[in-house]
Amino acid sequence: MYPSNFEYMRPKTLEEAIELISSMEGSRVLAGGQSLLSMMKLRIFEPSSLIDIGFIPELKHVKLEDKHKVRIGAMVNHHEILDNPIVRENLPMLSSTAEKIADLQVRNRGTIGGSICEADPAADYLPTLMALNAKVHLKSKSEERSLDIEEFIKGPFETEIQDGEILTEVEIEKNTENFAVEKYARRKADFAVASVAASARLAKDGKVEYIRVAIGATSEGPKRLKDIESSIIGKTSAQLDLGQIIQNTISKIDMISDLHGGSEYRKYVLSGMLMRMLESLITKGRQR
Amino acid sequence: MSKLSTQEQVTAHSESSFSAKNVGKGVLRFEDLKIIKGIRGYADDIEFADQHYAAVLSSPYAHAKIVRIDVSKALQVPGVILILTGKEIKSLTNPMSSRAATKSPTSHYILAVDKVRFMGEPVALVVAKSKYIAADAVSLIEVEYEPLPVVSSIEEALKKDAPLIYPELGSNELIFDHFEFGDVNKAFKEADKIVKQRLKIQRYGSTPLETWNVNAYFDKTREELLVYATDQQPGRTVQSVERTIKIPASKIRLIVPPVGGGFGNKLAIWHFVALMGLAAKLCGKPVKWVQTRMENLYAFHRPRGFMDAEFAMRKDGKILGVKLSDWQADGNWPYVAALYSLIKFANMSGVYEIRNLSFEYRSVATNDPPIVQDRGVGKPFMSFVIERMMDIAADELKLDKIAIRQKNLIPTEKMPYTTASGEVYESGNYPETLRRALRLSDYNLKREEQARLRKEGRYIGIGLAEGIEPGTSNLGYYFLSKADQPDYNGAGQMSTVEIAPDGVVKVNMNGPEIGTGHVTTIAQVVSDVFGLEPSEIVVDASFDSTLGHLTYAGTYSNAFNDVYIGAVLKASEQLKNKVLSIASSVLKEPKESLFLKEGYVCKNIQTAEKLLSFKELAKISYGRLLSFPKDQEPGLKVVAAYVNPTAKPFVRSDFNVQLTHSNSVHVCYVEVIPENWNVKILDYSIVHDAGKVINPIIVEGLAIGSTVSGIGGAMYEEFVFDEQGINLSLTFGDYLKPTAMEAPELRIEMMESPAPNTVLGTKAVGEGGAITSLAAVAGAIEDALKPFNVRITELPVTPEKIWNWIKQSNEFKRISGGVR
Repeated sequence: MYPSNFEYMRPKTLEEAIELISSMEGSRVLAGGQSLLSMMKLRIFEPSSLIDIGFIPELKHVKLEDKHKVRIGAMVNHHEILDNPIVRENLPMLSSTAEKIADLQVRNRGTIGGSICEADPAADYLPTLMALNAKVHLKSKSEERSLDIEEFIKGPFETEIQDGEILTEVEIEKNTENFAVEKYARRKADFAVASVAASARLAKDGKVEYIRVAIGATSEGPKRLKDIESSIIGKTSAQLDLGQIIQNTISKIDMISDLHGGSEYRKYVLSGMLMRMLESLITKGRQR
Repeated sequence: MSKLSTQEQVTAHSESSFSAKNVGKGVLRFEDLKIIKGIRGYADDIEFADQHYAAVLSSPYAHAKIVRIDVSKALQVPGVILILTGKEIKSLTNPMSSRAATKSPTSHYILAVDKVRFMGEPVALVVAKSKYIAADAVSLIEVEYEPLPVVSSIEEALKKDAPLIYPELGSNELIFDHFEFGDVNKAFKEADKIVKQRLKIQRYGSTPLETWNVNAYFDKTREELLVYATDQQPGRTVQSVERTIKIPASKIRLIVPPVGGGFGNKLAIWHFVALMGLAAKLCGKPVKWVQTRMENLYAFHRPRGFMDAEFAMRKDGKILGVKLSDWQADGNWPYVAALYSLIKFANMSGVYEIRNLSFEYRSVATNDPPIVQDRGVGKPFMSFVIERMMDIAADELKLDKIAIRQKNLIPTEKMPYTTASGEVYESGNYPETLRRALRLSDYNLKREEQARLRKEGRYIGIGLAEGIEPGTSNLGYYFLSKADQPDYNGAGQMSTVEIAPDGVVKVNMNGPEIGTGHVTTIAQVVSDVFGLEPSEIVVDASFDSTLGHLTYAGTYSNAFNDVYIGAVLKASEQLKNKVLSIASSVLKEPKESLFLKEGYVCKNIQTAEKLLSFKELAKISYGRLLSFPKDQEPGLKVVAAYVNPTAKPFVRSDFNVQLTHSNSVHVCYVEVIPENWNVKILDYSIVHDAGKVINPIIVEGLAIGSTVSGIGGAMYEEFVFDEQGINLSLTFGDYLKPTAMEAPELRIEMMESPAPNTVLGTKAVGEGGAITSLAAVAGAIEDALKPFNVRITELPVTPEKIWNWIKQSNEFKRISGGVR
């Protein structure tokens, strides 16, 4: 488990990092390394150089802008996200998600930007970021752009990031709606067999006036379940056959199938989770 | 030796003047601070000058012909100094041979020759200036393989036209044998009911934190091979290396530094010691190989297999007779083929009185990777079979699961008890262990709670298993199917105790210290002999083949506190006797009036008058030779060998595989969660009788560790292979160990039925949890799933498996009305 030879570079500024990325052929960005280093040890990846962006102060901020916009630097680690007061207060759903990621060692090293760019279909953040309508900011030598997380994630391990680009920041509107985030894995620190991130708000008359549902561990990557959302919105729980709604959606989805669970089993688990979590959100209201 | 002479041995040992002061105390482990600080001095910490490194090219196929190997590109990498392939190995070394099988393959070498038989088999070895260069060069070796049909199961291996793993044997069946004790046919004729079941065991295994390490250097000036290795059975390794690479045993110095976890996994390292030894001799440089985690996961696990069990039952629950037929997929490792089956004789009838018993076994070669003697060897599966059968028999006869066990437990008044095959259970009180476990676990309350929660729609289950934990191998069982007698045995060890020239008491057990508290345990025992504190005893935690040892020196088979403690205590008492004799002459005091306390020879028990310090005594004994007592030999160093006195020579009708037999009852309380069918262990209680306990903290730690490893086997761990024999579980993301997050809190109560045949009454302590837990966990899950009518006959019990078992049941349809 020894990686092949590579150069290691540690730029101090974003500008320097972007310069290196666009000039170094065969390089990869090191953004915490919780997946990349294992892949290199297995020689699945053999980059000629690693550009470690973990020491760039511009990528490590957590800011609240105009009291409603949270900006999180790409190199903020998972532990910081679960612990940071700004995140906890304005995006409790996100800090609750970070708490479920792997173990303490990984949470201290792994970063939100790294995790998003890895786009592991069973990763913890992505369903939550979809439910929160997060935007990611990308920067290259010539361009700056921002994309909705749903546009950015193209599929399992596939994103819109282009050569020469760095994901610099995640931008999320303050969201303190009732939410439920869960992952099911046999061991606490494992990737999800199934995961759900959902949030909702009920009007005074009990009708659902806001709902977001996203899931992980499908074979196509994380997914927002807009069918379910549109079937639920504007109705009270009494008007809903939640079991049927979930079933209609789940039957169209393929889940990952591997040693940790076949697609059919994962669907069974996912159905149960969705049923329990949504029922709780749209009847009892708050669930943390 | 006579059939049973344990009572006589009680007398023999009570002659020893040993009085326990520190033995029995929960002394914190001295060795731990260094482990925590990272300065323990493991094998990988040792570097020679001009150190070179080896890397192994492993086969990507489970079964393939090697058509061509081209090493030319790899040889051109600057820094590469040697590459070995099967071609060199065939001409320079001898092949491995079977220990138990009557016919041995002749084509299995320490590197693959002409064909590969498992995924991960070493195909080539590169030696280079750095480990990175070595790994780079490995990736440049070109091998042309011609895939052969893969034999991926026992059933396929035994088909008439099956491809042969070892063509020279003409069959994939390495061993078949049949044993019968008592009158089995009569028992089955008289039975009211025959309970039959096939039970399966998966491939799983221990994964020590420290992987295998070998560092070899051939010293031309002395013509001696010096090797540091993480080896659990170094005594045997020296013999095997001699035979394989033809360096005389007397010219091999093998040193085993402290080992970062043994579990039996490091009993198979010898062929890498041979390979690195040969490489070191050929290249003239010190060669270090540190196994990667993936290499560690490729091979050397427990074998998968199955057993057909038939229990002849009387309707009141009494077992009249048992037939067992064992099928073991030994992969391709002729070296220890059939071992797992053979060792099952040690707990074949468990804690029960079963006089009519037949056992047949088959060791089958497949393209599974090789096996090794993993924690408990065949005993966990054997215990799983018996205890599952007890539950199944109770179900079929509509009897209570506790009552059926009580009916068959060996009565305490029959202890020591000789089983049908000749195994001698030296002590124990099985009914009492069960009673205590029922109390400790609040069994009756739990049954009430279970019934209450069932009404609330929750699936709660209780499992109970009572198991035997045999220790100390009387290794001749390898020869049960052979005509010869073995020239090796695990029933004894040799150790050294000295008072060094500076007056300090030093002990060298001369065996691998595998992290299970040997240093502290030995210090406790020896301190009591010399009247010192445990912290004053210097314990050398390593093995050195140039020091006194027996051929099968090693730390294995749960034997430490029997044979190593036996040897250490024997040497200590001989040395103490010598000290008192010398002191008596020097002080002109009668020997009987002298005793040792606080580093002095003293007299008068009341006042403990200090007459002569160990320091002074050492000066006299090592240096003042002219004034030294004429009737004594100078020096204060004793090498002593101890053999457990109950080891019997092997005959097919009467043999003991192991020499001590601890026992335990595990009660497991689980909830199965219907949303995902995951199992939560809510409570887990253990009553463990390991005879006399030297250090309760260490023993409790071993009970916890071994139980968690058993829970791994019962619920999580499996090496999964596809139909091409490709191992799909090559990282810890895919091979699931239970972590601290999954391990339950265990409630443990110790019981002490001292063994009459060990020097301090101690017995095996390291494997009990791994043995008894499998059936306790499986039984609990089955009990929880009772409304679904599931019978658990295989492991690991995963949530997805449970879902598959139950999803057609009426109960499942009833509860899942809402969703699907």
